[in-house]
Amino acid sequence: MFFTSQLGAGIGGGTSVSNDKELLSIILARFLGWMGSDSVSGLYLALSFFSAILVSTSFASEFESGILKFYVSLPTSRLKIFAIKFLAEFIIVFSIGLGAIYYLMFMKAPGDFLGLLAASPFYVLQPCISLVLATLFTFAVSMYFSVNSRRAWHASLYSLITLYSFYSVRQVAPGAQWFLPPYAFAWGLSEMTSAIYTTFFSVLLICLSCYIFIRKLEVS
Amino acid sequence: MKGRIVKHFKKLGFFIILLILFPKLNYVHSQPGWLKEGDYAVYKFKHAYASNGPLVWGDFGWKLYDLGEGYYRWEVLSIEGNLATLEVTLSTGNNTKTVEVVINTETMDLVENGEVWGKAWFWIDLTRLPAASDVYTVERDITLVSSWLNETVKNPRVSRVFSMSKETGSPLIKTGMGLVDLVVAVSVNTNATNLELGKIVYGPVTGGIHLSWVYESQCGLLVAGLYVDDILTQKFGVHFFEEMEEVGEAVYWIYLEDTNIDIGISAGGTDITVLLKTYFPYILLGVLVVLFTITLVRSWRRTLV
Repeated sequence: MFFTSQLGAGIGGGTSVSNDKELLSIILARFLGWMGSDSVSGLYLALSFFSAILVSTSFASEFESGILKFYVSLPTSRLKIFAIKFLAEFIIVFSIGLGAIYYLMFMKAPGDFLGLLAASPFYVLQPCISLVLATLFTFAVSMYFSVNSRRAWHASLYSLITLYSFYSVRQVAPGAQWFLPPYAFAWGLSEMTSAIYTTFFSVLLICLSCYIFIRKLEVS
Repeated sequence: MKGRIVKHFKKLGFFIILLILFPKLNYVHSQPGWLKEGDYAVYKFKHAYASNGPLVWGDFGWKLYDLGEGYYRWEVLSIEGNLATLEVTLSTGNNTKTVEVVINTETMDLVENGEVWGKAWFWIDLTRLPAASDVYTVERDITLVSSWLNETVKNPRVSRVFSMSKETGSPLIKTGMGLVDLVVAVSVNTNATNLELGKIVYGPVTGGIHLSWVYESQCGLLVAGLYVDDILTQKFGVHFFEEMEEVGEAVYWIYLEDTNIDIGISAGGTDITVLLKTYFPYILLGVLVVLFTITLVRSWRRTLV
């Protein structure tokens, strides 16, 4: 690493398009470029906010109000209750995020977007992977605090602080931001290994939350 | 009414002038005037490679030989106007050689009998730097080294003052007295692509070997980097150093080991802000682990009432 690696040398060279597949790749790369660092972090903030509010309302708030006691008294396993709550909220937040991405892509270049869609839906689905992982992470953190907090606002606050602290890394330590959320999920901007270990952490947190919900929650 | 407006603008004028001058004031604290007799700086290096006699282009490029580990030191003996007499020492193993050179403190020209014979950029005039802007660097029409492997190295890119930790996320620059955060970087590509250092072949390097070094922001004193000057090349025959760095550090040929000049040491265990910035990810993860653990322990067994 040279001292002057940050001197901002220009990137030269041109691109020659030899076939349709290459053209589609270039268009997709352009879309991903538009959804670059600012869009990724903006979307992450929105996901964090909605996850923290929605999940804490669904779990911690129902702890407080006693509705959850009613649910667990039904002849349904706690695993099912947990899974249904998780999936229902995940689908809502994920759909909103996906809508935002496609809206951005469409508004930036409607022709290219429709061209990509006509050529192969696979290209248009690629941003979904990053979004799934980002939503999973924000949900995992929110879920953990919601299951473990006694008050709904505690859960929301802890979740927001935790999720925002990752966002703040870019201001304090720009070099480390590529290894942590939200950029860890933005493939092409960061190393894939970052996404893998962050996803592993998300799954671990969800499993722990699920275990606490099923095994450690006592009904009196 | 008119008088009130004029009075208002008079008040505002003071602040407007301050605002205009403020970006420049950031750099004015580093006038070359800090230089005085007795000032010195010592730079450490791992292995210096020198030419034995005239430079010869071999089968694999320039052929150099190893002088070993040592230090490169300069000290101001006297100053007359813009000309300063420096005592420059190169010490390698048991071999120490000292020369006296006269340097123009503004242009950094090395002068002998009224003629310029080279350049040595031990410091830079921070007042002549580009102002802070989105344009990170500018190309300066200056000569860095008049004779380096029979090549004149010139027209480098010079950055504005920037923070290693905040703006680049890179580790701070290591010196013998502590860490340096705010720096100015100089870089240039050379035409040299191959070097043969005894049994070691260095290169080929696409686009030429890239020289780059940094100055601290308080005095503009050279701190570290892939640095070479005409005193090294023409008085000591040294053209190249072995790279030395630890994992995660920038690549050094030489780095500042000691000086009596009050430079901008920003960390070294005392600057809590820089330490926080440097280790922020680890601190963040530590705090989060504590938060997660406390939350888990406090509510390990909850009762739905």
